[in-house]
Amino acid sequence: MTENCNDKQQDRFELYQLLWHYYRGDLLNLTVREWATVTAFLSSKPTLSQNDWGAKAINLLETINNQSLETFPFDFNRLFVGPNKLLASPYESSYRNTEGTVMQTETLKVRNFYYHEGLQVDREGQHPDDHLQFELEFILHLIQLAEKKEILRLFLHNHLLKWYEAHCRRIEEHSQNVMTLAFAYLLRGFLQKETMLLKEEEAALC
Amino acid sequence: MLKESITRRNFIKGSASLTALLGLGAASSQAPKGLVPKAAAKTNGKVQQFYNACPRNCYDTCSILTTVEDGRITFITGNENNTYTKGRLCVKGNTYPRVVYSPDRIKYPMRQKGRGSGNWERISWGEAYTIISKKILEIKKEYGSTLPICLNKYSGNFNILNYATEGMMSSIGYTTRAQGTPCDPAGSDAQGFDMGVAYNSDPEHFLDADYIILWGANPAWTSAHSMYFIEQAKERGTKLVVIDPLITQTASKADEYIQIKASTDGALALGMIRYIFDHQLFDKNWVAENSIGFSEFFAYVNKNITVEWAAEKTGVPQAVIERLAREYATAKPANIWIGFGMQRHVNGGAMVRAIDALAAITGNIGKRGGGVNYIGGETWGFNYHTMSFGAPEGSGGEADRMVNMNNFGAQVLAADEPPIKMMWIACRNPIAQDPEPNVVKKAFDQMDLVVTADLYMTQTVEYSDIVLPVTTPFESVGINVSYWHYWMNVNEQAIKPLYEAKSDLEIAMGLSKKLNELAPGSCTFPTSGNPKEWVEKELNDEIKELFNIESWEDLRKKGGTAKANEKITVAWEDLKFRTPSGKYEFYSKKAVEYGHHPLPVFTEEYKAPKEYPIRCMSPHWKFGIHSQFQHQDWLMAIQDHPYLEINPELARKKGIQNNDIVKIINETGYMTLPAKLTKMVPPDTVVMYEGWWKGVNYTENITVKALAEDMGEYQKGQRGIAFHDNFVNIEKA
Repeated sequence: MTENCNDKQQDRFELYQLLWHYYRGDLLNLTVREWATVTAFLSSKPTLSQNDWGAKAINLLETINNQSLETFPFDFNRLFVGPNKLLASPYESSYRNTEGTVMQTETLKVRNFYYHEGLQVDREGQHPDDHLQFELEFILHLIQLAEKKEILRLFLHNHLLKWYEAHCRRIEEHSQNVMTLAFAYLLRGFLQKETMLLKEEEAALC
Repeated sequence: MLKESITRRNFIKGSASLTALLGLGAASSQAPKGLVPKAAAKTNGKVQQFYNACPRNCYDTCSILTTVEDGRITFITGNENNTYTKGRLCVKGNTYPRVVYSPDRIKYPMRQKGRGSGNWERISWGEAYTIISKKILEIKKEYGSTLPICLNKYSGNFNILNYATEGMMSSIGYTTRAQGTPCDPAGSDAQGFDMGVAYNSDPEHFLDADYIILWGANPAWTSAHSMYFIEQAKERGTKLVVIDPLITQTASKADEYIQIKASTDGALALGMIRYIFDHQLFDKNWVAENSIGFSEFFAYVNKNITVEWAAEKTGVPQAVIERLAREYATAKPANIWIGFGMQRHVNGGAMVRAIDALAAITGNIGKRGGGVNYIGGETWGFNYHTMSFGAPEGSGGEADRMVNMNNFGAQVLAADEPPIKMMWIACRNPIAQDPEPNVVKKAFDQMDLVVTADLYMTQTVEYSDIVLPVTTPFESVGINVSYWHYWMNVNEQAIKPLYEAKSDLEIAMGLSKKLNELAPGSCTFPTSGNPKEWVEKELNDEIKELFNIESWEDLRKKGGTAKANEKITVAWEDLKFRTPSGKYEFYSKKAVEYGHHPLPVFTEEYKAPKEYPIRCMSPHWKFGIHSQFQHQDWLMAIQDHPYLEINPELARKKGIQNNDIVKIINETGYMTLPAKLTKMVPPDTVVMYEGWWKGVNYTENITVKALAEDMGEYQKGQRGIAFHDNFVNIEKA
């Protein structure tokens, strides 16, 4: 693998990792200074900065101030956590099940991917397996292992890439905070790149 | 390849950059642990079945058979072992999988920064218990007792283990309690004065009735399983009569529908009684052997009541009253079911006493297939062990303080020495359900802390400081009986609680643990225990014998449901009434004690004020039970917004057309909603169905004053609310 390829792979890993942290709620208490670090980190990724959505995300993140930080956790919870009706559910089945119900066949299909890799969600049955946080964690697991490339491609193709756009649309519709909006753009921009990457890989295989 | 060695460190290796820079370890948030190595034996496709009990405030209290595949509920249906549930659930019950798996459930304990702001932050259970415990201890210190803490809990979940919430409150000291019920108090007092207590016969005995009067009841919407027995009786030739001011769905199934002016049912019953007396159709032996005060009642009726008067009063033609009286008096047995709605008037108790008297003079009480059926509690003889621990030593105050659940806001605001400073709300949605909701909100404003335990965001949760996520019936253990049928239903834990939901029992144990950590001895409630052991402690020898079971586990093994011994299923079969005299009391000294006339006399209805001449009734809705179910999107998909039913004649006078937005107003408040023109409601009445509708910032109670019913103190501690004596005006908005 060339150095360029390695860099790209590392960028992918790091961006998935940032999104994983975001959906876990790890970033809710960062300071303005720490956000500057995140923004600088994102600006250093050509994958993002050269993508319209990625650039929009970075621009928004550059506007972060104490006021936006204060409302960020509330908006995050309105969108993804509750206690109100979720405005942008983080569960795949909310988008892909015909009734938007969690823990359905769509959830089991995700669970089967985890099983195939010898994994399961801790305390299975308590949290729907298709929460974006778990799907990103699974991708982080696969992406580090060269021999899992095909599984990763299948998982992305059959799952995350099938629903992220609908999820982002809901965030864009309901977000009241620059940070939640920025991360919707970030997710959209990055996963668009991932979609293109998969297509390129498929074309190369042909 | 099974990656036994996967750890979080593997996941973040090679990315020292961001994670390290930001100090983000795996434990830096409240997120669940994530992916772990798969347990070796895990496979898909495991199918199990469990018995559950619908615990809602509903006549039918169904036994449910739940299919679980791979730890997920995939199907629910009625338990065929229960001859009342009969293998079928109602439209509301069938939505339970959605109730469990809707992405919109409350998932975590959360704290609102600014009551009503919508700014919620996630907190752990430990943090929630700590905040609440500290406030309890602070109040105790400041006021010398826990009386400033008020519990408002009622009927959202009638699982016997849910009384743990009341037990938890008793275990911290003497507290203030919302007492009474918005449901049945006037009617229950009436039956209490007449017979000692409200006691209904088995609804499966409708099959044995020769004549059925559904008096202000709409079981086609509110008790679908009873309708089976009523319809079967009809098939066998039983006449079904429905008396109601509204042409309900049940009315549409009747052999005869009698439209009566609201709140004049007592006049109809007394008119029928006069006809029965005049024509010697009453059961002289029955009244002679089983009652007291009959001669006084006979004299009252003969002096004060005529059929002509009853016809004028009720709007029911005299010939109809006479025919109805003759048919009812000569049918053996004849069965009356009095609905709760009928008594939600200022004269509700008096009306129920008059109807009781009709059943008594015809000898229909104590007979299989007959009776004057309203509500019952014969199967509720549990130990209520969760409420048995008592106040800690040295608790300030002498007893719990009661405020009327039906005038909650005003009484909370008026409470003094000490004032109320903290509220715990469980199994209730007072802001959506109480009269004068704006006053209830003012009472909330006075609180230092409002804690609500619930499944879904409601108007009450919106106005709380802390919300605690609770389990659905499928995620906890329990046992249920009904106030109508005679079955006991097991509730098994079918699935793991989703997210961080806990049962009221677990919450009680958790809070007690924290309180005792912070102040040893401050709460007597046990701090741990297996729910199955808790539920077994609810059963005593009497209830085991009544249901012929050895234990909760035995009940589970016997098909999840058991029916009470037949010796109690015919109300008053032994004719030993629980009144002071032991007889049916036409003349009740107990009634006099509570400030009422001793006899079942006519009492005038509430008169509409001039400026608000239209009666607004708020009967139960077919897709909800009080504030539960309707907000589910499966049911919202059928009807997603409340509406006001208006008779076309009234609409024409007001210049209102179908779907016009109308304003409904009185001195208590106003709201605007779409009009639905229908002849199902009379021209002097409008109808807005009871419920809680997501995305709507008002309820049917916006115009309901805390106007008391005539009775309720004897059996329920407090009078009920005359919900249907709500007078308004309407105009095109």
